[in-house]
Amino acid sequence: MDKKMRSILKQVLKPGRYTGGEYGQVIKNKDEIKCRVAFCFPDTYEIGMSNLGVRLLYGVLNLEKDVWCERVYAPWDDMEEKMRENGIPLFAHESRDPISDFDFVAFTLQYELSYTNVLNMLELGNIPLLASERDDSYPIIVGGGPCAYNAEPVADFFDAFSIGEGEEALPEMTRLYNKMKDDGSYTKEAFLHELAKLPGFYVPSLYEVTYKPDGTIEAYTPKYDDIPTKIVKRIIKDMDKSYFPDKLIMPYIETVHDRIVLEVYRGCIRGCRFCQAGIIFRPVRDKTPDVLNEQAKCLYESTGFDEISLSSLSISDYTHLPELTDKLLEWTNESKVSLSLPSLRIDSFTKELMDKISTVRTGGITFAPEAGTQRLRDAINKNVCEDDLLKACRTAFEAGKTSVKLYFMNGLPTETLEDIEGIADLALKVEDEFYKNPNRVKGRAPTVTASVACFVPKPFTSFQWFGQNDLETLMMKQEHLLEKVKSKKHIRYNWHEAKVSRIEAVFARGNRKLSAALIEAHKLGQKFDGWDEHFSYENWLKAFENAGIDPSFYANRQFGFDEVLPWDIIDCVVTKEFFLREWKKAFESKTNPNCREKCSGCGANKLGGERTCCPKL
Amino acid sequence: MLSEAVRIKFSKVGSLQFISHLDLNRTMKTVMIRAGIPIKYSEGFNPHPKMVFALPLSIGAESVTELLDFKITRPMPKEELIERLNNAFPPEMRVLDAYQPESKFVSIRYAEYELENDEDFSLEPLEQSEIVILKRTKSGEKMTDIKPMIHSYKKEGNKLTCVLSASPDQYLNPDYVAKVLGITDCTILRKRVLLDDGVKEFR
Repeated sequence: MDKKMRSILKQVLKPGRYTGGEYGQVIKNKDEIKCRVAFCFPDTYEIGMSNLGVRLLYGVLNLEKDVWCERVYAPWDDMEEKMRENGIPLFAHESRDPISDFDFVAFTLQYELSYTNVLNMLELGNIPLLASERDDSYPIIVGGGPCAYNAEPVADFFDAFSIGEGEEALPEMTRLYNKMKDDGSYTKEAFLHELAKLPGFYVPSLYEVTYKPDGTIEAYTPKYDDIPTKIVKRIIKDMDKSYFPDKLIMPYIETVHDRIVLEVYRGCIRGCRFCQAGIIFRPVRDKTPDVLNEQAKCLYESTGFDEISLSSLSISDYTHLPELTDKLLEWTNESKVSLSLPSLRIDSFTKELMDKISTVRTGGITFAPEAGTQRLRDAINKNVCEDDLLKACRTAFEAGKTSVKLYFMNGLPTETLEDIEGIADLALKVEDEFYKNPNRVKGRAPTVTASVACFVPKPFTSFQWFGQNDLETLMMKQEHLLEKVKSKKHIRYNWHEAKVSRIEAVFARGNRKLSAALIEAHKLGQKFDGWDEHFSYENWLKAFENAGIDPSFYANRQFGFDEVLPWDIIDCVVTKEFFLREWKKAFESKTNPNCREKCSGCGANKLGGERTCCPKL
Repeated sequence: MLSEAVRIKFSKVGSLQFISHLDLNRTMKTVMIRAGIPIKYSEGFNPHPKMVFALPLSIGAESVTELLDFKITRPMPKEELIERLNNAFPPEMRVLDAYQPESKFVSIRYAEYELENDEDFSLEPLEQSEIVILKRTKSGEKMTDIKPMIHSYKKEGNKLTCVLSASPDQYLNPDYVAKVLGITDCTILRKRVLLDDGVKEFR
């Protein structure tokens, strides 16, 4: 470690965020490498290190003999200041080489509020922000992850996006790059043109966007005849055969999830109308219990983590859950490894399941009814009822729990004040349930926490057209609920800052014009917008004003059903017709059966896949 | 062959100088599992591997004498234990020795450090009869004379080797010596841990 870096690291918080050198990191000989990838997570080390997608893609890229993938995280502001002072450009953890030395700089786009960090990281890496300002000497900037499904607000900063699951697509990208470098046909322009022909790659500069006088999009027009008019997302067909790491990088410092994350299946059968993940990861593809058990054992031995988290969008919907937990418990108990199931549905919470898992043994438990009344839960297609919730809470209280956390949203389509009041009523009924239980923990009062987020309409959901409640309405609803619960001493109420959710909504449904606002926000020093201490609504309003952008046009306007949506350039396989049918049902408070009960014809089966519950085409 | 109580001596250098004691503790827990060491767990509701470290280092210091005690539930050849641990350690940590402890950590009296600075420095501040500085103690920050806690020192070029008090009630962090000498950017390396004569190595 050089002297300058050593001296800096002595002066910053949590220097372990920046040292690298962890057990399990991949070090390769630069001379044998044709293609270097700097894989950036635009948030802190602690968050980025916990991300399963990054673990997968880091592993799968490093399987390529002539590729070396390294990690990059956003430095916290104390470190950023020291780096700028000392002229140290943003560097990758493994080699400490500046990211401008790499062939690819890849960003995973997990949430809209990390966009300003992407810009800041490019700047710290001495890389011009706009793709149009970068010549062939700069790395290719690629994006992926959930936000790439509508990457239009950041399209001007990126050379390409990988749409959908990247385990196969990213290695294909590096192979194409190496081939073109080898045969001498490489120029950035030629490469991007070829890349645009690979399934699942969106090269925004090759699509011209035209607008109508009212500011909505007229059309996306490809600049070449041989590139697709819509980019179809990629999926892994057989999850059993798909890459899963046999080792992990072991952080020294405490990260958000210091544990093995075992991905049990992809997709979701539920179809909640607000949920983007439940749509973009379709079709549902199971892994088999034997494969999962082997992978878990292997990772336990190679990492030494003593906790395994079974991960998926809704773990209790996994067809073989009892079989899997039984197999795991055969060895985990003896090895003192605990299991956790972080995404339990209310209607699946049973005593048997509770006995098996440890997160339930310690601490409180969390349920997500999402809405306060049955009518609204039906409108969002949540498909759980009050009895399910009360039964689940009873089970928890009988097992000695005293605290329950409930997740809700406010500002949902069709919501009235009655639905808001329903949140308070439901929390009170949960409290009553505690006192009704004769075996409750004596001498202790229950705590029921109602945590209420503001609804943000997202692309590729049935509510994608919905204009978010304006700030005043969201805040009025928050106040209204506060009035209802503030005299109830066992009810804790916390809510999300509506201003943050509004900015999120602007970018979730934004188009390319928003890049100007991002540049302005970056100039005003915005970064780490997901962190309270950094978010500044005033700066954002100023940024929109400077860029001539009306945020309401994106956040609060109801989009037209025949309007060309910014994300219409992407084909997530679930059809617009399905979303429209679902939208209509929502406004009639009609539910839809889950995929296993009855196929709703969303279109996701077009891609095939092994161990799905979809009807074959 | 090692059985029951085991003490390992290991090094912790390079980027690991920025890893706090708490983080080292957590790292060691995963190391023991992936090394397959049959370490003894604590009893009780939430069993965890029982490990005791001697003399936690402060951030920014490297060491070639870190000591860790634990118990194993079945005997294991010394070479095997060392090899297993080294395979499970991050590259900048190496096991240097493993043995049955000969004495308890409380009999540690001194530790020897090497402070190396880029530029030359004067020893004068150490040569005063009293060196009173603001020092953190168990009962808060206090003006303390650290001279009695400096057993001996020797300077060669830009390098100072010093033996400092390291007993539980008289612990002198080498950072204070660097501070007194005005060489806060120097590297610090713990070389040895010593018994009460300040010469014989603690085992």
